[in-house]
Amino acid sequence: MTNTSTPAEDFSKGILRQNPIFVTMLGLCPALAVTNLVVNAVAMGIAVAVVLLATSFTVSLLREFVPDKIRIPTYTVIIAIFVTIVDLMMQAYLPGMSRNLGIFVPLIVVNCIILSRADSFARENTAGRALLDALGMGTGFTLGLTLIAAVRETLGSGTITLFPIAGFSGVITVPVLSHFPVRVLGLGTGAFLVVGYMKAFFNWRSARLDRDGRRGGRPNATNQVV
Amino acid sequence: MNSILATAGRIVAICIAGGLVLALFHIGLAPVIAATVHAAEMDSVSGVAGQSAIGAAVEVRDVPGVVRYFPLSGKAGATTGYVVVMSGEDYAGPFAIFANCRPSGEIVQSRFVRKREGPPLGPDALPAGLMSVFTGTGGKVPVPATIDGLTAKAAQTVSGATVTFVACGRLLAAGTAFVESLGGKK
Repeated sequence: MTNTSTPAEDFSKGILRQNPIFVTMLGLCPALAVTNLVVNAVAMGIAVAVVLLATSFTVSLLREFVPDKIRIPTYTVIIAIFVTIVDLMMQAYLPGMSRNLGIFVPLIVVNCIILSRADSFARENTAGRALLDALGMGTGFTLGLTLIAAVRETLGSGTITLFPIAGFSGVITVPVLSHFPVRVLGLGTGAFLVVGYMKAFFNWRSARLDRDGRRGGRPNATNQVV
Repeated sequence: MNSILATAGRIVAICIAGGLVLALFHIGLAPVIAATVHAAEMDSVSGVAGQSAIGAAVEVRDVPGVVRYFPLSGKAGATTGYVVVMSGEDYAGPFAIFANCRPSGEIVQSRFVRKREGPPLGPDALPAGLMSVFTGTGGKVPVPATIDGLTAKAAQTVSGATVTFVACGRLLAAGTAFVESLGGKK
């Protein structure tokens, strides 16, 4: 199957139209688990994006070499290699973040986005296109996690935790909300609620775009995964 | 048959290449990780040692839970206590305790360090005053390892972290007994 989309579409589709979290609903485990702090969400998003980029690039380069019937176990080995590298790098250079994210870094191995992009896109396209697709999906995933974390932390704790730099402690306290936080949003239940409402918003937006597209004679392919 | 062998050969090639890449990264990063872990440990040791001078680490192999200790000395050079490093495990995974103990076994200060956090729990999930419940115990006063032996205020402090409290209590009891057995020697 040959991809007929433009490079710009390869990149941009992962950010909104096929956003991994809000549209295709992939990689929800970290989306629910690590989004209690914005800083955790950003770090996890970047870690997944790095693994996604490296995996898609490698799978695309090896697409003629890997036999079709063993492609899934082979991709899993490739993903595991890159996750181990990212985990080691975090332990060496970002030990605090590695400790905060805990088991969810090794668990990137079983993140569906990575395997799905490797199998549905990277193995059928050139390395350049696979990189663009991975970059778009990684960016969409990171933005999705950050958005969920921003809502959860702001409303649930009344703070926004970022990376500490020089004299800045990294924690921004939100007036009023810090005194009257909606605690449930900081818990797992709150994560489900926020993801659910955001999914509803994306569905509403997709339906509206779809309706406008039909009226204008141009159908919208919102939920079509390529 | 040839196709199966070719497929097997390709799997082996991918695994060997992956193993080599990981080995290279491990060779490069293992010393950095070891240095990071050591720096974090020394930070925790300094955090509980107070003004005392910290001596060289002594590894402990035959006492369950106790990993190593650092003798502490005052201005005159005499041993004023020890920082004992202990390793345990609770429902959330492995953790370490750094306890500054007098030679009698009495706990002056202790610090709890989770080795790997789960974000939904995190360090904030632990009650702020959990370790202070143990301060002053050890030696003549038994280290509390059950809720029953606590005052109402202390029981309130550890409420919500009973499993961790019990695991810490047992570990600290072993640590303080070990310190007593040292008898003030370096």
